[in-house]
Amino acid sequence: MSNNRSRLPSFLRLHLTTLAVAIGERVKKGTFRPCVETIPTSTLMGCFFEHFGFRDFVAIGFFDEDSYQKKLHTYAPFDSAIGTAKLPLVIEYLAPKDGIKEITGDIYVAASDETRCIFNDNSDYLVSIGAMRSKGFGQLRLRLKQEVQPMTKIGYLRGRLRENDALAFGIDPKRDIISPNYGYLFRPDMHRISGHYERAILPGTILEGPDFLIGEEYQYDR
Amino acid sequence: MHDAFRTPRSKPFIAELHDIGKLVDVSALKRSGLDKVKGHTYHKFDLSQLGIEAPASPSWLGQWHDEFKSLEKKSGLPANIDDKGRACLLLTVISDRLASTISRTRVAGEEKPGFDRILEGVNLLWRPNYYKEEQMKGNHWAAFRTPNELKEMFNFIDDCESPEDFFTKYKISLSLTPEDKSVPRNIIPLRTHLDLTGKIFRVLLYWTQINNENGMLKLKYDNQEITSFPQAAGGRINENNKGKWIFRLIKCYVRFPQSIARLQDLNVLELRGEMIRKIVDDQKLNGDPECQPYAVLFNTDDFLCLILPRENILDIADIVNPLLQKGFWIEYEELEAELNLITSNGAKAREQLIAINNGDRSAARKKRYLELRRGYLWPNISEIIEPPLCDLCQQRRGERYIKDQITEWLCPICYGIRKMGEPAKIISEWEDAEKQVLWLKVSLDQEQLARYLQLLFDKYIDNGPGMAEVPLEAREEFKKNFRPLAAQMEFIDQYRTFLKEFRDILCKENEHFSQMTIDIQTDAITYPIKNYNELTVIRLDKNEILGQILDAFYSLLQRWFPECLEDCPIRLAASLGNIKYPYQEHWRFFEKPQLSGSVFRLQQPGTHIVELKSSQFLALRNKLRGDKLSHALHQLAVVETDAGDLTAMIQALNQRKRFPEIFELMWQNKLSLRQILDFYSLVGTRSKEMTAHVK
Repeated sequence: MSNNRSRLPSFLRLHLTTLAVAIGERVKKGTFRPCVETIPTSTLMGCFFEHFGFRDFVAIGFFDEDSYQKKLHTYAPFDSAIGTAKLPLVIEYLAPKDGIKEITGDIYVAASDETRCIFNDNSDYLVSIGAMRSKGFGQLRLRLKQEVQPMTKIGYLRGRLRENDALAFGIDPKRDIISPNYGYLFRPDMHRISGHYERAILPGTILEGPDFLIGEEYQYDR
Repeated sequence: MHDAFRTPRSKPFIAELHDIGKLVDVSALKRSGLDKVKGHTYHKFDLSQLGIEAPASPSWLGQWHDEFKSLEKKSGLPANIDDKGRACLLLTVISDRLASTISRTRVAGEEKPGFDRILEGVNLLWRPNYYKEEQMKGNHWAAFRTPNELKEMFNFIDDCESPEDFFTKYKISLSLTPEDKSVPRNIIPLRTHLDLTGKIFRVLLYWTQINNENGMLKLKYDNQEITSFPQAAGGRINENNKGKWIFRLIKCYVRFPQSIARLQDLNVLELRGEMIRKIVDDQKLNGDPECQPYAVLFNTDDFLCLILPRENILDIADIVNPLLQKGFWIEYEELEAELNLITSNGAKAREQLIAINNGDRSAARKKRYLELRRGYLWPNISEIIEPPLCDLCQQRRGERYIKDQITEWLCPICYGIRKMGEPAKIISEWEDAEKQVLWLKVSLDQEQLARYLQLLFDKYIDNGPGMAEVPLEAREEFKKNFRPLAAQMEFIDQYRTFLKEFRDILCKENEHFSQMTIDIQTDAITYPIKNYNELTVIRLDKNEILGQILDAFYSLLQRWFPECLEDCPIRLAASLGNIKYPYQEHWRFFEKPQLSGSVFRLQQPGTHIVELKSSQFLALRNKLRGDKLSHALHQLAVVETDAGDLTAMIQALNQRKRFPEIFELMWQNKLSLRQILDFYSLVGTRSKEMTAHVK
């Protein structure tokens, strides 16, 4: 069901490695903080702005499924105002699978003059994402693998991206999204002190798009 | 809908009555001297034998359904039959065939022995002894066994005002009589078949126009005119004649985005139930028993299965709008197909169709029309939301609410749900008791059910009575032609009764279950949501209560669904915690997918979690008995905590002669030591003198 479609842009494929990462899922109440298993566009946009100063990066990331497992970390935040620890939280995070040294994965960045300029050689780039960064979580080592021209495929989305970022992936929401699974992702404003929530498509969305975004193929009719 | 159909008539046409003759015990009538009875239709029966006249109700026309194949048929029909009567009759024929499971399948070699075996009573796939059990209670499949009772049947056809009258009056007989009495077609109770027939009939009737041009009667739907069943519905899946009428079967899984932060947020379950009931009630347009634009074939508290016309005629979003307006979203599977290809297992039908065409999808599409789509239906949600986002649903803007000095941001829908009431208020009264609280959730996996019914049917074909004489090819043909729709409807109906019985046992609301001793005080159990029997909260005043509850559940499962114990689509999750333990965590546990094949999933958050197949559960309950074993397990648990899995395992193996039960559980029942210890920690052992109702 895949074919090459000229309208799809090319992407820089970055190889990533990390020892532990916790990209939290927004959840109300409870003492459990689940984490997501892919890197949403909103997380990478913030991360790349912080490290490279570019606002318009559009990128999405995936961890290799056979390289990680979910683990739990219990943590009691300290409330300095009253000088005591708060109720302990159980934080879910991704750690390397038993017998594997590091979590591996790929980040796809829409190719442009700026991005080619930044990721232009075999150097390693260190960036940090997600929660608990001050405790050592989320340190990512990135290295350019190649520039890729994806094929199109119809199937279930395996990442999280804002609808407004979809065009950068060659996806026209009206034409290519067959059935959306909606949620919201945050977009900070110019000064990064506020922002708004934008409608996003989440895993399970059925669409036609670049093959790296698609997990299970959609076997049914449109 | 044609205007002629709207003409008020004194009596409605009740399609369900077309098969009332199947409730007649012909042999008994013959024994009582009425010898001119045969078959299950009574249009040729000499009514003067009973001293009565033919019923005047239009429902009487249903008796001609067996020989009415086309609108062109002129002879052998009542003289006063009008166009509407003919239309109703043909639509009954179409609905009847669609509703039947495999009973209209004709397979090679049918004339040979083995095909004509008639068994008394229905043979439910998941409960083969159901009819025998009912017989023991004094119930019988037939409703009409004497001339007087037969007279009563004709009077009833004349007087019946609605399908509900019929189903209520002959409830027991309808549930014990199969739609087709021959093996292996005897698996669907007549009631389920007629319920399905009636629902399909009314949807067809609503959307059909009668066209009579120069005496040529035709029925028109979606600009397609037909005069006979094959024209409308098409052939079986392995035949080439294409049906003109396309309808949709849609399975809707109702989802909600809210996370449960306070107990009041559980009201979302009540709201979901209310909206589903509204959709079910709305199908009966102004209570007209003849027409409905769509039909809810069956539903549970989170699932709807609907039949409706094509999208250009009726949009599914309009039907489920009550749910969408309250913020629910729908995950659906839509099968749009010729009538004769509509089945509850659309994926299987699609695969079959492609396979028949040697894997060529486009060739399959040219020959027959069958499309299967999956997707989501969403309420209107904004593209952009200015913060703050609603804390609970995260799909609308939140407004500030302060309660108990805690600020929360809630959208109007989530706030409305909070205001619906205080479910499980009684839990706060238990706080002084310092006892453990048990959250129980029963669930039914619909997809697993559809798959499992096929397996059960295959098993029945291979091992059912008389099937050994049937040629292998014919058996394969039966298996291929099985349509689980009616069986699924019946299963869900029984699942509801099963839940109600489980509730009666826990709440001691029925004396019939008094032998199932569960030591729950009447003030120590609550069903937080009205009319929702899948969720229960229980205060554990005694340690053995959890074991008693699991035993009762298993025992009930064994009674209602004895053939479904392995890979059962019904599951029980139990989460045990201190009364102050956050209920969000119990809920999160219930939302996690259960391992395939496991029936029981138990946890004490953070310490013990165990998933068990029913055979493993049974082995654990039967083998973990007595104080000595309890002491040994306790020691093993200590060793495991202090010295690790391997050391505990070695110790268990060293003690295999003294405690062979542990060794057997590990090797025969494929349980890990971890599972055994977790189960022991949660449920304990049974004392040897404890009277078991688990066998």
